[in-house]
Amino acid sequence: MKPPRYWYWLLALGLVVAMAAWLRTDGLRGARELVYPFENAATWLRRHVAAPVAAACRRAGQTGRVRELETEVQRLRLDAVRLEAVAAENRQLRAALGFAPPPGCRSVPCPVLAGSGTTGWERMIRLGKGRRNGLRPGDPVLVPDGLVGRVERVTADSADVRLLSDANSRVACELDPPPAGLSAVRGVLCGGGGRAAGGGDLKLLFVLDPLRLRYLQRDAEPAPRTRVVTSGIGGVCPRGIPVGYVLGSSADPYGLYREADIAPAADLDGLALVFVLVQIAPPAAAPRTVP
Amino acid sequence: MSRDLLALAIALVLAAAAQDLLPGLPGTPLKLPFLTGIAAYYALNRPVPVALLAALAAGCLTDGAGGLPGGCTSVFLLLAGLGLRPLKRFLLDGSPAGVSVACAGLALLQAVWQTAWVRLALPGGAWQVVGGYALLLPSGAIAGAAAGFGAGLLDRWAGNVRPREEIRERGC
Repeated sequence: MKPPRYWYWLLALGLVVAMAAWLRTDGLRGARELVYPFENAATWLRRHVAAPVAAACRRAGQTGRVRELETEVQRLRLDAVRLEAVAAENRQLRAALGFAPPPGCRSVPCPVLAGSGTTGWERMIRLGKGRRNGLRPGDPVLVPDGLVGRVERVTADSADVRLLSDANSRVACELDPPPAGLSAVRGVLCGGGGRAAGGGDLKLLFVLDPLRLRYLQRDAEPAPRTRVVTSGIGGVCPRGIPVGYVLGSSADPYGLYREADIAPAADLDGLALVFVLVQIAPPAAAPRTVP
Repeated sequence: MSRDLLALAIALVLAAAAQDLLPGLPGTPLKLPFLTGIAAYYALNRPVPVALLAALAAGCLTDGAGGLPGGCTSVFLLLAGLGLRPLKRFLLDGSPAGVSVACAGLALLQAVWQTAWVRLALPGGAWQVVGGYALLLPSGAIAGAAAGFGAGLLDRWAGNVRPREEIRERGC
């Protein structure tokens, strides 16, 4: 099909205009003017539509991300708390590994099951081992830091321990080292027990008094922070087990003896694993044969 | 005439806008050759004066909006418009697929022509240049298909072409 004649005229006109434009330096600037509105519209759309939409999407994503990170922080905090507990247990077990019982004794590690029993009047703890493991009433109970108390009652699989801080606790002790000029200064360590705070009225607050080392030689004034160890008198506890440190001392009301306040060497409130010192029975003597 | 010319103008303007706004081919300064596709479509589907006018306008738009010297692409597309006429039968009578194939070849030749005209080479090493030219084949095919499809729609709107069913029904 032959095209209408005006197309030839248009082509000719186009060629003339194009060639005229080619001869000029910037003759084709009309082409740039033609695409300029589209570029402008695209820029406007990018700036006023695409960018806000992208920002909104990014904000939504960031909100989710912030929520995720907050959850992660909470989880990490819980982990940190748990790790602190594990680290404390690790320190305790490492200290327990380095604990060596005195000669003639063996140590029985016992888990602490409960404290104070069903009432809070006595300062006691209950251990998870008993007679089956060789525990007997009177056996000393200690941790690597020092003496904790003595076994009071024993069943087949559990034992009650009276702590040093109990008002009825008594342990024969001595100062280590003794004051200058004295070979030994001995006394009896008594538990401070607990008392209600304030006078007479019933209060919820309960105060634990420090341990009291009584019947010390009147003239022997111990320096603060002097170590107190078991004296071994009476044969219940081996000699030399750390018990506490002197806080201060004063003469008793009658002036016959000196008394000292003692801070326990072991943390009596945070016990989880203790050792019970069980004396090794001496080998039975062989029967003598008479020829 | 007015609708026919309007369809050509719209096709050229839209192709120029698309070629201008869409990003270039990766690793090369070349762009998707929509204007070449329009020229190829008109060369394969319309009479010679219309095809040449479309090629001239497409070339002027390519040069003007692309910063090339006047006449660089226009001369090439005019020659290509004339050269494609004898190949019309082998290019599926100007269907979008035929325009796509023609545009792929024209895009490659046009890039070579332009670099030779302005005496500039594509940046990068030899393999990058070869890769850039090779990338023009599929991108030219895509642009040609899109341009052929769009120009075909405009031609139907202008009444230049009719669906086959309508021709069969009317018996013309």
